[in-house]
Amino acid sequence: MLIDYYAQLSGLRKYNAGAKAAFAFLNLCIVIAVNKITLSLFVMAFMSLATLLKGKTPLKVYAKLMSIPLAFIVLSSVMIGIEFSSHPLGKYFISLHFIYAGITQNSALTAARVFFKAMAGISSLYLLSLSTPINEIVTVLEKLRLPKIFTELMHLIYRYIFILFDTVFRMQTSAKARLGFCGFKTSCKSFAMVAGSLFISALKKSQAYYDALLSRGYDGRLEFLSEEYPLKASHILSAAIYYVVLFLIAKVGV
Amino acid sequence: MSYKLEIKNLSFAYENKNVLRNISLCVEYGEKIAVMGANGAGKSTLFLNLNGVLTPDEGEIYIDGIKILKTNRKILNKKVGFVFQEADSQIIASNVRSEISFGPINMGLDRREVIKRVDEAIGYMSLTGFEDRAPQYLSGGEKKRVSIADILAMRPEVLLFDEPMTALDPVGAKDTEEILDKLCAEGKTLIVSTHDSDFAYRFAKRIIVMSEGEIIADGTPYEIFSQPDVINKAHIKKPALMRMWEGLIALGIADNNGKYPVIEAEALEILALKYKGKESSK
Repeated sequence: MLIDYYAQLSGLRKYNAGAKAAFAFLNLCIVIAVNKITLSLFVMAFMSLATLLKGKTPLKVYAKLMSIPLAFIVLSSVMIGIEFSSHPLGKYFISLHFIYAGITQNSALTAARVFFKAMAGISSLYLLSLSTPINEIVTVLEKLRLPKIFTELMHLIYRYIFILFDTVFRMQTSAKARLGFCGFKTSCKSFAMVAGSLFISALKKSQAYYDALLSRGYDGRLEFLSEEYPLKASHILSAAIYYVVLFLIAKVGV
Repeated sequence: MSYKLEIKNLSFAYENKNVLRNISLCVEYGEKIAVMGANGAGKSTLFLNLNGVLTPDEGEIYIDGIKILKTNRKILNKKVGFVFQEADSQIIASNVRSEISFGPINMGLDRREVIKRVDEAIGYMSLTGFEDRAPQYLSGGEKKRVSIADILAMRPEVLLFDEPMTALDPVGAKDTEEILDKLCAEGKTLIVSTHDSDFAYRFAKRIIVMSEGEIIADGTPYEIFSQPDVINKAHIKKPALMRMWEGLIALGIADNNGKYPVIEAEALEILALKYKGKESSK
């Protein structure tokens, strides 16, 4: 929800969605294939700055979003960095009775590479998702010939998930107002009641939504006017320059 | 005689529960009709039948002299537009522009015509600047405007509004009423269901009162609101202005010549003319 809100407001929203998606995915592929720290750092810096400066996503929000995957990445990088062996390895090690756990130069480098690679990949995907609302991404998928049934479902889910969340929020608030969430036992009971009445109201509402569809001549095909933002020559040119820089860094970097 | 919309002996039941019983109604081109009645009187169900979403169990619907059958129900979708009570249950797409395009696309129009109609509806409902906005970030009044634009883009001849003022703040309600007046002035046929008798009294030229699935009264606002049994049976309220005027007549201040004022300004004018012998400034 947070991502969607800022995607709607992003300064990068008026860029062609297909181009943004292609740009982000190509970036991701290059970062993984090249696997060099300098390149990863460059991509990370570029993507973050683009999201923050051009997209105008608030720094606080961006930091919060970045910190979610960061925890996982730090944990897994640490595990990659530590090597286990029957004899002492590298400069820093501790003895665990029969085996030694240590950090070698090699393992530290691998860990750092994985860490920065992951962060660079995440920042490229955030550039896409913080500048492109889901419906525009779905339109790109439609163009890529994803079966209609999936794209229609995505459109509908995207529309109704907000109504669902809104309803849950209101039900929970009214339960809270009647002391429904004081103590563990009542909380469990209230949760079950909210879930139950949510299901029933969803069933009831779905009929009203279907009627509304029929009233506008729905006959099994969900089609909307979707207009993409034009792809500008200047955007293509800047992307090309960016990839040349990436190529140079990939050549010389470590 | 060719009526715009004609219903003959229509009945409809939801799973053995009779909701509409033997309804007959003729609506002519350009009429301004209010449908009143308690909750559950069948107003919304009648609208769904008129719009072709539901098929009547018995009875016939004619539009422009064409009889509606199961095979040509789509004519009703096109010619009779239905603005739902809750905008949220009507809005389906994830931005305003594609939302408004849904109806015209279903009508099978070509892309250029769809774009033309969508732009027109956006302009008409003053939604310019909201085209790319997702519905979850619109206010209640804005959503209402989108749901009306949805229907206008289909260019129906008859417009059904199900309680258009509910859940709107006074400004939103005023805007909606202005839009209804504007549509009327352009010659559209409007059928509006409402609980607000003050609104019905000043807006409609004809009121249809429903109770328990039947039409119990059909006439001008003055005729309807001067029948106490109809008012009681349908759980409606006499408009404030009419009660006030009756009070003035009882006190001998106003004349009882069968002409009741429809809006406050008119009442003031009549009184000013009588007591000061000149037109009031207001």
